[in-house]
Order: sequence, then C-alpha cells, then structure tokens
Amino acid sequence: MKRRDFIRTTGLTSAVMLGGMQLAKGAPIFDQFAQLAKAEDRKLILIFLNGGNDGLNTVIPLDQYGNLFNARQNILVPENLVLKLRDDVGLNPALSGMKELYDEGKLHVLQSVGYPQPNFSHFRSTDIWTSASDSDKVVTSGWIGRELYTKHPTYPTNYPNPNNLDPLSITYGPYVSPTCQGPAIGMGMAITPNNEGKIDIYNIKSGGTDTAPNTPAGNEIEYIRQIINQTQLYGDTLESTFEKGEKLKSSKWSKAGNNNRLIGQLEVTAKLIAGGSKTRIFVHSLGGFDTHANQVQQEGDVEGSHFELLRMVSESVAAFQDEMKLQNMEDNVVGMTFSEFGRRILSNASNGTDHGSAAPLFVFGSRVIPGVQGDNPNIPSSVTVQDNLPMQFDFRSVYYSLLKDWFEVEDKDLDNIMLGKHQHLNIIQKSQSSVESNYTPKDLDVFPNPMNGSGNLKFKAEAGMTFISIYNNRGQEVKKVFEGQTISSNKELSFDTNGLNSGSYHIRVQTGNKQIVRPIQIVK
Amino acid sequence: MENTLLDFTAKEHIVPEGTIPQRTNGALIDAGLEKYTGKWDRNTAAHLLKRATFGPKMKDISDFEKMTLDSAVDMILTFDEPLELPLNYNDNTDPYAKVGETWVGLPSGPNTLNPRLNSFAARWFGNIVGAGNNVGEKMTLFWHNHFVTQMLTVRDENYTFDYYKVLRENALGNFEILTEKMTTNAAMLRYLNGNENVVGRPNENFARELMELFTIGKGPLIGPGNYTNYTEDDVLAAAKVLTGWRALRDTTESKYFSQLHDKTNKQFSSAFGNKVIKNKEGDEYKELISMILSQDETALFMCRKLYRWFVYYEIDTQTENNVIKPMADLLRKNNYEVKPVLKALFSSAHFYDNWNVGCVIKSPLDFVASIYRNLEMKFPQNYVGQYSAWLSLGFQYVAIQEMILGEPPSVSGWPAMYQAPGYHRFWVSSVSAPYRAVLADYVAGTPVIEGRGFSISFDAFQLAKQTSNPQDISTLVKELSEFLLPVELTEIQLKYLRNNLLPEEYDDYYWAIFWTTYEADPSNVENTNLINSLLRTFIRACMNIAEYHLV
Repeated sequence: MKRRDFIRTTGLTSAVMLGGMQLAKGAPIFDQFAQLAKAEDRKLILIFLNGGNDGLNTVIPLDQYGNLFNARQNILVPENLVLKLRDDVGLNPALSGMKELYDEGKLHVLQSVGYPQPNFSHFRSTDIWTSASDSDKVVTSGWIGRELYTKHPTYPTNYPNPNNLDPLSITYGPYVSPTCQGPAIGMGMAITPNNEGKIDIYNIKSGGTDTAPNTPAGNEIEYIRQIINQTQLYGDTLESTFEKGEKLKSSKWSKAGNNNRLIGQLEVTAKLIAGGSKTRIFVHSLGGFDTHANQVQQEGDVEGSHFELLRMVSESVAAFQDEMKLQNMEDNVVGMTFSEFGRRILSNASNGTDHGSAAPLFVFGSRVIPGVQGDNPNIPSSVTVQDNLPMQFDFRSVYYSLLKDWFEVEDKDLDNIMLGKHQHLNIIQKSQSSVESNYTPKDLDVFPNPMNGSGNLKFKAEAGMTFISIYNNRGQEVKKVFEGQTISSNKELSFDTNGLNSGSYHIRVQTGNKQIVRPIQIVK
Repeated sequence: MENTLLDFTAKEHIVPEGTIPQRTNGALIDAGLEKYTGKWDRNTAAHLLKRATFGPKMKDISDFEKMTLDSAVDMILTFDEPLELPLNYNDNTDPYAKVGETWVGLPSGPNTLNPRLNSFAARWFGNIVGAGNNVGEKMTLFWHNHFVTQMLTVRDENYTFDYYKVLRENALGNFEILTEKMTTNAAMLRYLNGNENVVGRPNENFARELMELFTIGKGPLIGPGNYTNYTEDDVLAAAKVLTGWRALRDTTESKYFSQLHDKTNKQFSSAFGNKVIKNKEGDEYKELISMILSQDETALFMCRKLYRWFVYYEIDTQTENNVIKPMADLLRKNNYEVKPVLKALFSSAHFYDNWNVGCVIKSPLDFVASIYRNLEMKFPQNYVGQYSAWLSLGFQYVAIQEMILGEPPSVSGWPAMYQAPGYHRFWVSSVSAPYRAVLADYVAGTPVIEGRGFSISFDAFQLAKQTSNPQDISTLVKELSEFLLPVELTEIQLKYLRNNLLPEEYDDYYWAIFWTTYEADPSNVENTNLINSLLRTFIRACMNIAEYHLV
C-alpha cells in the first residue's frame, strides 16, 4: 500500500469512527516527515474568491438538507447530485476536482470559518481577512506581509540579492495583494501574464534620480523610483525562471473547460515553481462571487454563475496539484482558498443570495491532514432574511496554524505577526495524520434548554485558552460567557442571559484546539 | 542586518476603526480652505490646470498665468462642451445603426454589444483627450468612480451610454439630484439588482452600496451590525423603500410598479433619529435619500472623496478640521451643489501650498491622456481614424494598466481612491510601470504613428519653439522640464536631462549651432532630422523619470 493510501484510510477511519485517535510522534509511518522540505522551501498558494462565496452551496451539510431546502429551494443543489464526502456532508457537483483531491487525501475542509462580529461590506471584510485584524480595528499591513517583513526587515534596500533573487511574493493582478502589504510597502511583486500567458516585462529606461524633496511629492517620487527599479531587477529573474519551467507535464491543464479565468494564474505559478522559483507566496484571485442574482439559471438548475465559478476553482486546483506531483514538488506546496464572507442562508427572489457571514474554506496539498474539520452548520427550520451562520473557526486560527506548522514560524514571531495568540488547529500533517475528532455531544451539556434568566454549562475543558460566547441568529457574537486559561478537566459554570431577548441563539465553546457550536433557545 | 523588528502589536500599528491619521511628517501646513492670497504665477496656473484637467498644453499655462485666481477658477468650473453621440465607426453587421451614424437610441442586435461598447469607450476617451480647460471630464470620471456601474455586467450599451450622459450632465451639478437619478437609472437598477428588489424578498445590494459607498459611508463597527452611521437593519429598511423599480427593455427609462413595492412602514435606527418612512409609492426613495443626506456625515464623506481626487490621499487631523469640515459645511449650506465647494477648494490656500504640489500620482488615464495633451498631438477628424486612434492609442493603453473606462474593478471603484495605506500608489506597480514606459517610448520614438485610418505625430519643434529661448540649451531643458514635471528638479537631474538632449561630450554651443541652423534653413534635412531625434530623446527621458508620473 502506498503511503498516501494509508494515510487516506487512517484519516477516514479515525475521523468518522475512532474519535480522537492520535498517533504518537515518531511512529514509524511518520519517519519520512523528517524529510519534509525545509520550511524556507515551502510555498503557500492563496486563492481569493472575491465577492463573498456562497459557502452553503459549496460544502453542503446533507444532514441539514431539509431545512436548507426550505430556505433556499430556488438555488440549492439537488440532493442526489451532491458529491458526497461523507454521509452527512458533500460538495457542489462543480467541485469534482476537489472531490478527487479529497479522495486522494489532499483536501482539508474547514467548516464555518469567520470572525465574531461579521461585517457585510466587501471592502471592510476583505481588509479584515487580509490584515487579520479584529473587526473593530484597522491594521493596514497584511498577515503575509508581516511574516515576510519579519524575515526581511530591510526590504527593499539591497533587494534582490544573491540569496533572494526571486520576488518575496507574487500577486496576479495590477498590484501587490493587501495580504502581502508590509508595514511600509508591498512585500513582493504584482504580475500579469501577457496575451500568450507568458511573463514578459518591458525594460524601463529611467534615470535622473537625485535626493527627492522632503514633501509628500518627494515621498511619492521615492516610491515610484523604487517600483521602477524593482520591476527591472526582478523582471529578468522572473522571465528566465518562467522559461525554465515553461514545459508543463500535467494533462489536466488542457482538459480544463473554456473561460476559466483562474487557471492561467495557477499555470504561471506552476511554471515558476517548475523553473525553480524560490518565491514562497503566490496570491491568485477570481472575481464574480458576489452572486446577488442568477446564481443558477433558473430554479432547480445546478448550473449557473456560481457553478461556473466553482468549476474554475476546482479545475485550476486539480491541474495545479497534479502538476506539482509530476514535478516532484508536491510536498513543498500547500494551498488555501478564502473569501471575504459567505452568503445569507435564505436566498432572495432573484435566484441569488445576499452578503452573509461564516463559510467553509479549503486547504489543499499532499501535506494537509485530509478530511473535514468541524461540524456541519445548524440550519434553523424556519429562516428569516437576516439569519446567518455563527463562526465555528476564527479565520485567524487558520492563518496562525499555517504559519506555525507550515512555515514553522517561531512562537515569539508568530504572536507578533498574528497580532496576538490564536487557537492552534491541526491542518498540516505534523504528529497526526487525521482530522481530530471534535467535541462529541457528551463532552458538552447546556441546560436547561430552552433557558430563561440563566443557563449552565458542563464541558470538558482542554489545557490552554478557553473562550465561550453566545451568538445570535445573525451570526454575531452578542455575549462573552467565559474567557481564560483552563487545564484539562471537567468544568462547570453558569451564565446569565441579561440583555438577550427571547429567541434562537448559538453557544460556541472553544477550548484548546477544539470547539463546538450548539443551538440554544432563550425564552423570557 | 538591523535587529529591531517593528512591534506589529504596538498601538501605532493597530488603530480603532475610524481613526484619523496623525501627521507623520514634521512639516505641518495649517493652510486651510481660506482663500489663497499669494502670488498668482506660472506655477499656480500650472498646478490648477494639471489637477483639474487631463493635462495642459504649454500655451494653456501661459494663458492661465495671465488671468487672476478668480477668473482662472471660473474658467475651470465652466463646463459647457456638448456631448457628442458615439458613432458606429466600423461595424457593417449592425442591423440598425449605419456606419458613420450613431447607435444611441437604436435597438440592439444580437452582436452589437461589443462593437458599440468599443465605440462608447473610444468616444469617452476622445472627450477626455479633446476637452477644454475645465474640470468637467475629471468630475465625470469622479462620478463614474463614485456611482460605479460596470458595462460588462450591465450588458446594454444604451443603458451604459445613458448612465454616462447623466453623470456628465450633472458633473458640476447637485449631488442630491444626481443620487436620485442614479437610484432609478436603468444601468444602476440592473447592475446592483434593483430590478430584483421586490416586496417580500428584498434584494439589498443597492441599498447597502447606497449607504456604504454612494452617500454616508461606513463608520466604525460599534455593535453587532452597527456601522455607526447606519445599521444592518437600516440596510434592510432602505432596501424595502427602494422596492418596485424596474428598468424597462428597449428604452433607457425605468418605471415604478406599485404592486412590487413594499408598502409597510420602514423603521430606521437612531443613526437617522429613529425615522419612519411611510409608503409614498414611487416618490419614497427621495425621502430616503433626503434622510441620508441630511446627516452631516454624508457631506463629510463626499468631501473627503473630492479631496482625495484633487489634492492628496492622506487626510490627517489638521486637514480634516481646516479643509474637509469647511468644505462639508459649504456643501450642506448650498444644498449639495458641488460647484461652490470646488470653487472654494481650487481657490484655497491649502490647494496652492507647496506642500500639496506634485504629490498626486497620475491614474493610467491621466498618464496616457496627459502625454497626448502635453505634446499637443492631434487626433484625426474623420470618424474612422478618430475612433480607431482613440481606441488603440487611448483606451487600450489605459486598459492594459488595469483601468478600463466603463468597467471599474468593483462597485467601490478603483482601489487607488479608497484602499489604505497605498491609495494613489496602486496606480504605479510592477504591472503598470512597464506599460507606461512602452507608451512614452513609442510616442517619443515614432516620428509618425500610423494605424487604421490615421497617422499622428508629435511635433518636437513646435514644443521647443514655445520656450523663451530655444537655442539656449539650459533654458530649453529647464522650461520644458518645468512644463512636463510638477516639481523643481535638482542640478543633477537637470544635467541628466540635458545629457539626454545632447550627449555629455558635446558642449552647449553645439545645440545653439544646430538650432540656429534649423531656424535659418528647416529644409536642411540632415540637421533637422538630428534636432528632431535629439529633442525626442530628451522628451522620452522626461516622460520616463519618476516625476512624470505625478501632478
């Protein structure tokens, strides 16, 4: 049996049947992890789904299908067409490439990723996701920008240099992604392939530089000079790396459907990686996810604008992953999709959905722990227009865990880069190869339910930080119940419901690296 | 390597939403919206023209220099150029519009969308490159970036042209009226799903952007779903107010349908004084707009946007107090008439302060149009050549730098106008900078640019002759670089440019000889060609240094 198959099997079994089975470090099967690519050779592929991806039409909670049908009959994927990952959860049929990755053990799905106070503005929420700030704070640098700055604090002075010939990051598009924005400047380079999909950068003959005036104009002059200079210096390396890697091996590139607006970007990334690029971060994006209308052509259809978008993502990721395998680079590359928010549970009358909150996120690659992490969201039986999902995972926990386990960022830098401590999630294969079991219902007891003025909570606390909050049916955190350090123990506490009106809520318990979201009713 | 890493968790790095940046530079300017009382000269005239238009000719600056501040600003605010209708310039297959005639108002055929949108975009660029010395085209673009629609989403050339026409006709008009017109505009109804916004299942797309992007703007998140200036409940209430409007097919009109309208009372939050808007059928949206515009924050939001468009992207506490607030007061006092605010801004001490000169990075459109306008390049008069030149030399050179007229990247417009911390810096990147150089080199290096039905060139001699003493190389270099570049150059920089005009090993008097020979006998082909090529090399160097990206 091939290693990959083995991990896949254990992954499945342990996630579904065995509960929290953990394999000890140093077990023979993991010896080869010692041969993992060095952290500085590992790459992160980001794919931004711009506009707010409809998570409930991407990863479909099959055990909630009836309630989901009531809420969004006009756009919901017919149950029999869902690509099942497990009996209770499946993918949109457009995601057949992602399904294949799942079957090969190269896909990690995180359920309901978001943040405690959802902001439904595209731009603000994109800022929050790219900067990794609290939702009421403004941070103008990006999380990757800070990671790069930590490693390259003098950039751009004397860059490129013999140790850093390649751009620190590459963004496809007109400018460096806000994700890669450093405290002062963009930590990387933006490129757009030409009409033939090649990298071809014109040589700018600019001179006449001297001390710039000490005015805003002077600041802008220095900025422009720097861009011109860096474009020239990195341009040559990029072109030659691209040429070296230009011959791709996977047959999946050409099999992708027409009008795939994403695949060209991943193709260039694949060529640069094949050509030996040392760039660690590649940021791709696909627009069009703001599907307020015509998500499907008409009610009962599967195909439509959202299906097309997911197809583009799936085909691109599948071809890219296959290419990495054929280039023997598979173990050096991990990818992640993200979007600024999910969409409303209830669809609108125009076969579309309005801005929402938490949504699933994909992490892919041969080094991810395969499986689905987290529980299906709970869909109420009668949904109103403002109902939204509470988050199950904070998106910053995902970043935090990738930085820690994939890039092996040291703890002291990690807290600084991520602006504080965050929950550690097992996404990357380290000591375990399977998705850890989440809380099972017996680990948490909330009573009475429905409750009136107060409620009680019994739960199995893990060693580490524990956070307990109540979320309303709009997916907003409305009450913090507990926050503090816990040791591994059975814990009991009671809480009041002051300030909360009668209605449906969720209680979210996060303890150590586990969390659970449970519906509760308050009746006053 | 330096070892002091920035502490990202420090409070300079993480600020509460809505914080106004403090000045980071030592030099402060306190000059505000009060009237500029300094000298009116060539520099102030050039600054006004460069900021308010898409690039002056040398002669425009001389003309403005002779005026007073008041008369110059009055001229800048006089926008009366008629709108030319875009023509079908090359599509033989258009079943309704003959080649040479306009397609505006005619039905669409199955394949007319793309050729007609090309014609529209070309005409728009033509309007910009051929505009007079007024702020009309820059304000039209301001509104396009503000009330965004994307023509490839709207997919109706008549809707899009009508939308553009409304923006242009109201460019210097009244913001409240323009907001009303945009709310029921066919292109907008289609773009932000107003068409699908019906009683019972509201589509809140337009309502949200009306508040967040078009009028009051989003403040800090101060509670669940509460953005200070409005709440999520307000978005939904506004969506209900706006139900019932549909764009009609085969016309650019929209119509109110009572049966699609939500007739319940709409309750707004304390941000709007807990106002209730009752059913007023097809006039209800006006009450909504009036309610939003009666908030001070709306005027402040709009004035910050105008400031970033015309002055600089950074707004600190002093600027907020001394410039933005007085502008907003004027806007409110004048019932949202835009002209008095622009007049005050363009006449202000703040605007002409040296601190604010030369710090705006040209948008791709500014960069491309300013080349043709600065160099006085004449686009052809015949429509075939004209449209293909506007497209191939204008629209496409702008588009390749990721600025597409009619198609901003999202409903919030171009990131250069809203995305902190970079703002205008988004315009110059490793993607756009090489294309800017391509165009500069192409225009400077090609004696005659030829395309389908046109040939265009720039007359280097004409430019040189407008200097006060063309045979004196230092005068020539100084005056032309002052004209093309917004900030004073250092001796080293002037020397660099001079060496691009005449190689370093040649003394200055060689230039005097070349020029006097040319003046005595322009038919001396060898000498004339030499001068032409030297001047073009010099202009190319001017357009490739960082300063040319600024106004």
